[in-house]
Amino acid sequence: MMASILVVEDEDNIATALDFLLSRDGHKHRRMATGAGAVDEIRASHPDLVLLDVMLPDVSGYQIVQDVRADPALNDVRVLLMTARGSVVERRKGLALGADGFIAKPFELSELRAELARLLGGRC
Amino acid sequence: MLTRLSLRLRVLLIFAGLAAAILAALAVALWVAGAGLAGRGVPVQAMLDALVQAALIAGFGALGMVVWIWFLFDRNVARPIELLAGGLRTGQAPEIEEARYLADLGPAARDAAEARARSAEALADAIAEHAADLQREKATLESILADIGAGAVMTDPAGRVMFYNASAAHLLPGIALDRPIERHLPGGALEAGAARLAAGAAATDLTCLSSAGQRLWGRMRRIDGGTLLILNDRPPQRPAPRDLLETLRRHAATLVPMLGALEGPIPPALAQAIRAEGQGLANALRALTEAMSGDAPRGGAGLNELAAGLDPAPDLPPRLMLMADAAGVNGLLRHLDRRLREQGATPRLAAEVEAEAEASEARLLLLWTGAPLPMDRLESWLAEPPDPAQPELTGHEILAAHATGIWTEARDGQARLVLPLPIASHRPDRAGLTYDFALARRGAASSRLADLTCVVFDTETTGLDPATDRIVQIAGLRIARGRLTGERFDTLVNPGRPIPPASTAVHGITDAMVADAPDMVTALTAFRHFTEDAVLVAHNAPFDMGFLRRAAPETGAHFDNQALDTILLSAMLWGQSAPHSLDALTERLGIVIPPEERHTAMGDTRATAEAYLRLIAALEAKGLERFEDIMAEARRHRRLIDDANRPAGDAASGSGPSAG
Repeated sequence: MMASILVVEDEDNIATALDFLLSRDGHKHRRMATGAGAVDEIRASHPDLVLLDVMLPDVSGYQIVQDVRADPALNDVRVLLMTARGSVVERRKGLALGADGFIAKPFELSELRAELARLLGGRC
Repeated sequence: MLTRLSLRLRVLLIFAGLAAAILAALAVALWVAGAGLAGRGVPVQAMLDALVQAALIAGFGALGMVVWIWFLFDRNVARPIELLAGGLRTGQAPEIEEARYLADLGPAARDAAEARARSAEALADAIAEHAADLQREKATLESILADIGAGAVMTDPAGRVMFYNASAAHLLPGIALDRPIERHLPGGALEAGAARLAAGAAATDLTCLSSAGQRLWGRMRRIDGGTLLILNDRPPQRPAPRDLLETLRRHAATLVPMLGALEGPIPPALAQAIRAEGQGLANALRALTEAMSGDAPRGGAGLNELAAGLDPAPDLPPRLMLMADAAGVNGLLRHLDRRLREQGATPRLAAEVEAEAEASEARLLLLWTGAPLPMDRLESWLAEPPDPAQPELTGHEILAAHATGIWTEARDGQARLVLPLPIASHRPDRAGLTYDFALARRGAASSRLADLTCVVFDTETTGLDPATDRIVQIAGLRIARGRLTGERFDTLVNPGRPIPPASTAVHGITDAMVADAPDMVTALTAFRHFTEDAVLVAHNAPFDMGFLRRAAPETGAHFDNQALDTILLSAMLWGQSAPHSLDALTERLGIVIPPEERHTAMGDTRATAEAYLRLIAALEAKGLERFEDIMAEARRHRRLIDDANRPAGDAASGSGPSAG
């Protein structure tokens, strides 16, 4: 089943790669290049999953997770964090703030697919 | 020859000689008078009475005069001179009244004695002051040395350890004073280092594998004929991870030319190669990240240090040690605390430790009542340096150096910041220095009792029979060349069975006390390392040795050390009929055991050790200087020491005064 995914990622090259991979797997997706307005966009479009970069130029991905989790209406939105800082504590920090999953860049396609499958359940 | 006699005796002899000479002269005079009278025809009978009378008057008169003059001379001259001399010799000011006939000699001697006493007092004061200075310097040096992170070991010219600090004890398990350093570090590396020093270097690098299999880096320096080793378990400068960088370079070098082919259709083999290289690059990068993150602090910081200047929660565990750089983490926490207070919050510091038995991590919490902190604001605070004087050391840098992070949470109506840090396994609280530089001056080890390396020990047990009872506590103190080294072994042992109340009544050790204690295998293996190469000394040694040897098949720790029994040594000095209980022995030797320490393993060990040191001095005076002498003497005493040195299996069952 097709899922709706919001990609929040400032690096164009990664965004291009993600666009290619998600399209190939048949997901409906949009991309935002900055963190500002991301929470409003999530409220408006209510995606199944947000693929969220931690290190955005304006707002930190952690702040967006915190805001999403502070809004009970967004309870069913899954958040998958991506970061180039792959330390264990970053993962714990993300999960403590309410993210549902965490993948470290560079990730392999199979790794991303497995995480998406886990978080979207039957929807992909 | 007369000069060997005392002055008064010599004077007495002189006066006796004078009296004898006067009597002899009288006799001659009477004989001459008698002969003259006889020549004139005076009958002998007629002159005898007159002559005897004259002889008696002159003889007694002369003798009386001589005795009287001797008495005056002795009382007023000879005796006062001896008194003055004795007084001068012992430093006492003499009584001048006694020496009133010696003119100025009495006052002069008194002045001299008093002047000497004054200078002795001044000297004693100066020495005491100097000693206090030395003591202060020693304490300062001890604190300085105790906190250098590196292990420091100093050996005498023969390579025997005479100094080590707590870090060295950690790096070289089992190190002890008077043991050869070659047992811990490979002789080849030490010899090669010594050769470099002999070639003229003041100090040289040392890289070697310890006998415990750990790679060590350090410096080696000659001091006073001996060697000083400074040891670390990581290299002074981390070598660049060459192999990882090489892997990265190789993948990138292969991948980049392949990318040129992306413009056209890609043959499957090339696509596969690109994928493989990309994966290789990702893996190498991960390995590199891990390798570079291994620099987290390894030193411990007490929670009390980390909480300084903060408002601690009342249930903060004060003795918790965390792997953290106290300055960095405390600075960061205070910075966050300050920023939170600027927002109107009043944070308290708390700590959460998981309830598992061997929790490896604690979470430091800054708790306050109110809204959780937005992560963006936290991130901006972390971008600031807590100490403006070190602008490059931001909160992020401090966290990265600890390989940790900090985040915000809301729980139970409270907001909090969470900072996880690993728990430090151990940190020596004491100064952690063990040394005896006099070891080097006391010559090579020999079989002289005073030169032996010994471990005096005592066990507490579940009962008196080594065949069925078990050890519940064991304590030991090391002695090297006639002095306590300060190295101690003291542990409770879980006997794996209930302790009978009758035994608990003796030593006060209960089942609850040993519930978490090491088992017999762990405890005796550690004690085996502690006692390696030492003579074992115990009060009623056959009893304690019996327990150690009985346990050998179970623990694998074989105690084939030679043993000495202080009961036997006591019997050699005071005979077998005297009482030889530890109480009787220590009382005879003037050693005080605090009552609360009696029948604790360490209390009895300390008493036995002090008794042993005094016993060997007394035995030496009796001509029993060497271990062999003691063994020979022991055969005459038919008791104990042979038993204590008898191999396992047939050791006597202990029934001595030490009730286990």
